[in-house]
Amino acid sequence: MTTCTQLSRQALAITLAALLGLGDAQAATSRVDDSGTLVSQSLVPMRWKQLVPGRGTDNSVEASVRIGLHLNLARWLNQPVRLYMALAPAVGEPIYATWRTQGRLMPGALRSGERVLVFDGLANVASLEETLDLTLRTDGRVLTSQQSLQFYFEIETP
Amino acid sequence: MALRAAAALAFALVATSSHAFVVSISAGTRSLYLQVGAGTMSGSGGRFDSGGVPGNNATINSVSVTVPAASLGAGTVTMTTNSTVAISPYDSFAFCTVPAQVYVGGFYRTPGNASNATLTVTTPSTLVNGAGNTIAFNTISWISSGIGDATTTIPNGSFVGGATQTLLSVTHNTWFESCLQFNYANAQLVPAGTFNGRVSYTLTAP
Repeated sequence: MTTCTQLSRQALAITLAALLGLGDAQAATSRVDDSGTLVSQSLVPMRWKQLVPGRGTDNSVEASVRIGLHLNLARWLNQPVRLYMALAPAVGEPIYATWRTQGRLMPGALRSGERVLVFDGLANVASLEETLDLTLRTDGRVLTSQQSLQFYFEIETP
Repeated sequence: MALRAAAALAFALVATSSHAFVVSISAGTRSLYLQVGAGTMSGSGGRFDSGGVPGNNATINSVSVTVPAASLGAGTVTMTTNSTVAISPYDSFAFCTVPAQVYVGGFYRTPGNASNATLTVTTPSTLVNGAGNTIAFNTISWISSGIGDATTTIPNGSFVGGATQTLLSVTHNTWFESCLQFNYANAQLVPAGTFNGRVSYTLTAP
């Protein structure tokens, strides 16, 4: 009886895994052309969150920058899509990013090496324009030299 | 062959740039701050931890004691200061007792695993009066403390006189502070007069 139950569970697990796998296989993921995007500053100086380190030490550095986002969605026009914003893995400590938007995309937060859903719906414009107010944060003790953070967008269609 | 390689590279760069936007960030700035006695902080209610900005302050505070003739050579006497700094400039915590103690504190802010900063003090060999009589600087010592501190940050000590001596290795990205109470050994008979000497504290970052 016990063996039978275990087998049933295994079969269920395998079936679920197969269904999930099937779902993944069917979703097509593509990088989005963001070549019209403008970054307001060529070099963003990170500032110590606490100028003076204290007893409750906070060694974070942070900075904000405005991004004029331009995404070419012509390929997916009038299709249901899921749009993700991603930040490529960074050297050393993780970089944390949070952003506010003007409403076309969802605000959110992520850390380097991750992606986050920013839009789920019908791509009803060929060229999506949005302003991101991006805030970046990391451990200032580890950030010793200039780093280039690569943000990109991925789109999934069912 | 070289031309083909170059063309392929150019193509790859163009392809990458159209599918990612790049934000370049730079490291936090290095900064160093030392306050001995009076200090200056601008804005935010005089609190560094609230965003105040430390500035230069040219004040040179004094520490002094008057030894009556009858007490000359009779043993240690406590000195007092004209510094009125009783609260920590970091967070306004009531830290020192005035006029008994002189506030000494600061920080070394830096990215990376830098070596520690070093706090040193330099004194001449002697204090001198108007007639040229002297008292050795090594007759002055200090006791270090701070309200709420379980252990001293700057250790107790005495000026060596005529040299620079290291007081403390300041770990980067930490705030340090102590209140120093100075004492004169008063172990000798000296001529009458006012004996002066200047002590310079220095915080040095690598």
